This record gives sequence, C-alpha cells and structure tokens, in this order.
Amino acid sequence: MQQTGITGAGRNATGIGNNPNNSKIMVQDISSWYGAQPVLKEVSMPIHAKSITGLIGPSGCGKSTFLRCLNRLNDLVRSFRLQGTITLDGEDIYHPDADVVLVRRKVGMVFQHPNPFPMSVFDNVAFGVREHNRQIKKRELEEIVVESLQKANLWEEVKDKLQASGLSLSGGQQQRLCIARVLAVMPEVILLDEPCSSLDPVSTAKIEELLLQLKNSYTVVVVTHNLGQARRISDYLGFFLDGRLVEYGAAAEVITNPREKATEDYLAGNFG
Amino acid sequence: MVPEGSPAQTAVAGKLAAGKEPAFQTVVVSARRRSIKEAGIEKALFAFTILSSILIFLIMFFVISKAIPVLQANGFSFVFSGGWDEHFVNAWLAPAGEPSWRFGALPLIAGTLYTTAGALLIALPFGLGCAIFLTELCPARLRKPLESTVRLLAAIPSVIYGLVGLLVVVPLIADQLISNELALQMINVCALDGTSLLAGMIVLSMMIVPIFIALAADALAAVPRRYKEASLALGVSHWRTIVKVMLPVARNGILAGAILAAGRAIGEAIALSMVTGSVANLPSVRHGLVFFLEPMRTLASTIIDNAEGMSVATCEAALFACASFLLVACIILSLFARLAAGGIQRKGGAAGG
Ligand SMILES: Nc1ncnc2c1ncn2[C@@H]1O[C@H](COP(=O)(O)OP(=O)(O)OP(=O)(O)O)[C@@H](O)[C@H]1O
Ligand SMILES: [Mg+2]
Repeated sequence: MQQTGITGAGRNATGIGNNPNNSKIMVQDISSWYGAQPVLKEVSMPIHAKSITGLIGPSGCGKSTFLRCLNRLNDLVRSFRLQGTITLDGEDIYHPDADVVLVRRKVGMVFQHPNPFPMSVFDNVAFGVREHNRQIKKRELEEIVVESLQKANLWEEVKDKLQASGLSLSGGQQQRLCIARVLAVMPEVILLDEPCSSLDPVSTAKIEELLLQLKNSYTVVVVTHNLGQARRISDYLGFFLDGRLVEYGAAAEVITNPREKATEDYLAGNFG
Repeated sequence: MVPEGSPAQTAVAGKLAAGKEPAFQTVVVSARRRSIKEAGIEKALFAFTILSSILIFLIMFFVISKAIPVLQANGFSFVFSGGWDEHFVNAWLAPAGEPSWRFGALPLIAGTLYTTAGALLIALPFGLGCAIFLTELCPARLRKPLESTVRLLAAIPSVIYGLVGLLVVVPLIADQLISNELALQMINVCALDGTSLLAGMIVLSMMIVPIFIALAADALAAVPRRYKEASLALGVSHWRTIVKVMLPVARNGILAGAILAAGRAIGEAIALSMVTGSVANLPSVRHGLVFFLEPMRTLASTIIDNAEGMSVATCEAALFACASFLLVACIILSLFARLAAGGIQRKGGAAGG
C-alpha cells in the first residue's frame, strides 16, 4: 500500500524535483475549460507546505475549479479540459502514469456543504481507512477514528453517539465530521472549498481554530468568501478574478498592500 | 360560512373586481378560478382512487370466493400434492351428478416459484451489472441510446419474448443439452423436447431484466453526487465507491425494482406457457441437472392453458384457486415494495434534516 510517488515508478515528469521555497504543490501555467468555456486562464502558483493558502475572489471566478484541479476531482466532469502542469512533491499529478486514486489519497478535500455519508459517525470516519487497508485490526481502526475525531475537535460532542447516523449531527458537527473523515486517511494536503459557508459563527470559529491547528502538520488550501476569515487564517493569499490569479503573496502583504487595483477594490468590498 | 372557492364567493370577488383595485382583484379571481378547477381535479382523482381500491377488493373477494369450494374440498393437499392434469381431465369429464373436486396444484405452485426464483437469479445480478455500467461506466455518447433501448425492451409485449423463446431458446436447449439417450432415459417421466423449466427461466429473465435495469439505473442515478465525490476525494477507487457508497445508498430503489420484476415474473403467463411445455409436471431435483430440462407449468400459464375448462364448475373453481394464490403473492410483493419505498423516503427525510 505504501507507495512513495503517485506514478508508482516515482518518475518525475517535469524535472522540477527540488521544491523551491518548500512548496508542496506547484501549479504551472494552467488553463482549463468546461467544453468550450474557458474557466482558468494561465494560473501559476506555489502552495507552501505546512501553511494555509487562502483563495478569494468573486463568485464564478474559478476558485472551486482551481481547487478541484488539485485533487483531480474535475476528472468527473466529462467536458473538463486542462492545460499546464500541477506537481505534487515534484511529480506531475496529471501525468498519464499518475495514479489518480493515490493523488486523491494524498490530497484530501472538504466540500462547501457538509456531506457525511449516510452511515454512523464511526463508519463515516472509518470508511476511508478501511478502504485503504482492508486488513486493519479493529483496535487500530478504533484508535484512528478516535484520534481523527479528536483532531477535528469533535470527539467530545460525539463520543457517546458514535453509532448514531452522521446525518443526525448539526451542520457544524457534520462539517467537522467531514474533516475528521479526511484526517483519518492521513492526507498530506487538505483542500477546503468554503467549508464554513453553511455554518453559524460559532461553528465557523471552531473550524478556523481547527485549521490553524492543522497547518502544523498539513498543507491547507481554503477557498473562502469571507475576507475576515481569509485575514484571520491564511498565510498566503491568492486573489482570483475571471479565471486569472490576479494577485498572490503572503497574506498580510496582499491584504495591507495589494499591488493590483482590482485586489484593492475587492478587499474594500467594492464588488463580488 | 361560505366554503372556499364557492360560486358565491367568486361572485363577490367578481363584484369587488369591478370596484376599487382592479388589477389586484383580477389576480385574486383568476387564482380562485384556478383553485376551483384544482379542487375539482383533486376530487375526481380522489374518487378514482377510492373506486379503484373498491374494485381491487371486489376482485379479490370474487376470486377468493370462487376458489373456496376447491380449497375446502382439498385442504392442504391442494398445495402439497400433484396430479393436476389428471385431476383436471377427471373433473372435466365427470358426470354432472357427481362432480370431481380433487385437485393438487403442487407442480404449479412449485413451478411458479422455480421460474420466478430462477429468472431473478439470472436477471438481478446481470441487471445490476448493466445498471452500474449504464450509470457509471459507459461512455457518455452511448448512455442515452442504451437507456432508450432498455426502456424499449421493457415495453415489448411478453408474447414476443415467448416467440423468441420458442424460436431460439427452446431449440438451443433441445440441440445442445438434450441427447437422444437422455430423452429415452426419461421417457417414462416426461418428454424432453427443449420446452422446459430452463427455457422458462431464461425467457422470463429476458423479460424482467429490462425493467429491473431501468429501475436500478434510476436508483443509482438518484444517488446524490456529494456522496460519490466525498468517497472519490478520500482516495477510494471508482469501483469501490460504487460498491461501498453508491449501491448502499441506492439499495431501497434497487430493491423496489427487484420486487417489481418479481411481480412481473410471478404473473407472467403467455411467454411461459409457450416455452415450458405446459405440462403440470413437477421437475424433480432427484434427476440431477435434468431438473432444469423437464417441462413444467406455472400457475399463471395454467389459468390460460386450462381456460376452456371454465364451463365446468369444478374446473372453474380450481382455476380461481390458482388465481387466488397469484393474487395473494402479488399483494405480499407490493406490500414489500411499499416497505422498500418507505425506506427510501425515511432516508431522504433524514438526509434533508
Ligand atoms: N461542472 C461544470 N460544468 C460546466 N461548467 C462549470 C462546471 N463547474 C463550474 N463551471 C463554470 O466554471 C466557472 C467557474 O466556476 P467555479 O465553481 O470554479 O467558481 P467559484 O469561483 O468557485 O464560484 P463560487 O464562489 O460561486 O463557488 C463558472 O462560470 C461555472 O459556470
Ligand atoms: Mg465555488
């Protein structure tokens, strides 16, 4: 089960082996289309390890599309087409030899709307683990589940109802369950697509706190519509506009001293 | 109090409409007219529903009351003993003064169970595979045409399947599976000519598989995308996602499809009567695999094939007894279908909350 590279052979398709600036993922000049409609336009961006990269931009500018390129979830859309390269630890994830299942194992995702499986709380977290290691001992599995729920700051709330349906939890709890589910399979990168958009302020605060904890061990990419949130949690910030990455840099820098007029306008709340 | 949507109220609304606020009132009036119309439609539908349930009860009552003399005369031996064809001839030829009430329907009942079970055993795994292929694996270009083909197949009348069975399946079985020696060996038990339980199972499975594919594919297509995406995003392969996430979520819908298919299989008469030899023979497992090659007949086929006996009271009652068994089986199945559908709704409700 334990493969190092996503291509099995560990082949390096692009020759960018050593990551400059400890970037976990390198996005190089990607453009993408749904059918004939262009969505992303020549986007390049590093995603640094063990930090939170925030992505902001007006609705429809391609943030979700960008995020879904990083774990190849866009492969599900038949009309989707991508140009350019995305490397994970120096390996091209879109290389013909790349194992998409392995890519997704390394790059976990949390969706905009909480989507726990219609199974018990326990099984929701155990599902991915069981699938990746079918011979796993019950003991070991339980440990992983408990640990993941703890990391997701959900354990205290669900420890007495592990057998209850995941759907019976509140929205905020469901979202943390989805995070626990991702943590359980031990990804290296976690993508979150507006994880708080359907949550109340208290749940949002809990998840922000959780993300700040997570960045110590994971590479985190968060799409958010909430500028306050982007300010509070991100280390790096990318601003998308109409499919282009208009501005990217250290979060504090982008926020206090944007280079582009468009970014300034957006941050000032003038559109979007 | 004036009931809502009554003529009086409409008249009042009409007067008002002529008065102060014409635009607004016109809207109210037209809405009211619409609601009268809708109420009318609703009442008519309600009446139809009541009427059809009354009809169903009347039919049940009629069928079972007609069957009672035979069931009383034979007791459990109606279900547990054979010899139907002989009994039927006896009853048919019996002098009017001393009718023969002896009937044993075991071969027919067992035959119905065998064909249905066999057809399901073939159709369900195959159909599920096709449904998975259609919804998840097949290239987008092929999906629409294949789906329409399946729906078309589901709409083909059963007699056509019977013809295909008679022209293709039966000769194939006769040529490939039945040797002259085997036929000779069995000559005292039954005639082996290709019309057989196996032919019945195959034809029946061809008949029910399209319905089942269509319903199972619908159930799979209705699985919320978010579950599939969640599973794939965890690094679970597409196939495992289908098996462990999508099938369980679609389970109730698939089950409902299986029950509907079973219902169609139990009640099928014509196609089976064409390919099973139409003999009330009880295929015996003691004959080994020849079991499948023996001719037989189901309850539904019997009602058709023996229909000319209806003019004799005893035969008529015996056929109604067959019908009442079918009716009860179908009612039980539809209750199961209700349960499965209820399960779907409960699940959906929980997901929404
Ligand atoms: N599956 C799809 N098929 C076709 N077009 C799509 C698909 N998904 C997204 N698009 C289009 O791509 C563009 C970018 O969509 P995307 O979801 O990436 O935007 P977004 O930045 O995430 O917006 P939001 O903030 O509203 O979530 C939109 O114009 C959208 O219509
Ligand atoms: Mg989005």
